[in-house]
Amino acid sequence: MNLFPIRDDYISERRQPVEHNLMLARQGDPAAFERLLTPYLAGLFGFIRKQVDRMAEDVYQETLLAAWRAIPGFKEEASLKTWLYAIAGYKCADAIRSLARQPHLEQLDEATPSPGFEEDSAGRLVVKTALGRLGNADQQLLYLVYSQGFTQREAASILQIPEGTVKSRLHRLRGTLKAHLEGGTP
Amino acid sequence: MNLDHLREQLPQFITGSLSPEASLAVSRALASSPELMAELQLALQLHDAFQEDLCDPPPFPQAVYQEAGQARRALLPKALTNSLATLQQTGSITRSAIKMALNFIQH
Repeated sequence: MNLFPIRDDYISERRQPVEHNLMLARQGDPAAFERLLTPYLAGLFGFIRKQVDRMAEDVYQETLLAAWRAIPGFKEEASLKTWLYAIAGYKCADAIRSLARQPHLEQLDEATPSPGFEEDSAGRLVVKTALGRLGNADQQLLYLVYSQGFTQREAASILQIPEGTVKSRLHRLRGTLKAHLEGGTP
Repeated sequence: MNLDHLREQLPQFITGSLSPEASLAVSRALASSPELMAELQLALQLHDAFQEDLCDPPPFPQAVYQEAGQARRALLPKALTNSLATLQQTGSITRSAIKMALNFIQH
């Protein structure tokens, strides 16, 4: 027996605004586009910040502008959220590449943990400490899967890596984190 | 459903994005598998750590509205001109009324 039955009319009421806003956004309505993306923006900004911390605001703006330009051609082959994160992934990669071409500027280091996970006082947040010791790429993957609820296939598509790589990296990361949480060597 | 498959579904279970049937299957498996329960605990800790780190995003870019406005300004006069030309041909609107309408739209 299903303890929490979901009424069909409830689903259609909930779905209609998304479909309606998508239709309006495709026709060039920027307010509908903003309404459509609002539920994803905090998570999206978090994702961008993990990759390009100091350039996050610029990359965020570029991502949304690129999404606006691309929304008329959005095919719904992936979910809107996955599509948006994939655009952000491209924009972050562009930003990292352009930074790498500037030899005199400080470069983003793939192995440098991103800010936001520094050790808290008195070691209160052990998980955060463990996460802070991981490289950016590992943090991004964990963020997509455990914070934003993407499937392994979706995360692979956003990060442009094979699904098998996502699976094996997650397996390794879970082992590392468990060892740290159990007081072993991380 | 094997443990690997259920483990993969835990993040979606936490974020509520599983179907009701899949969610029920995970709940049942959790009740009988201490190993899966330990995995859920780790998943929840990770989820919470990331959620605490989230901050408000910057304001929605005005560039989107500006670009939409430019596109609309470029399209509207052309569409209106066509419509008004049709009206004029049928004799139901004067040339000065057309000019006034176009001025109103453009400014």
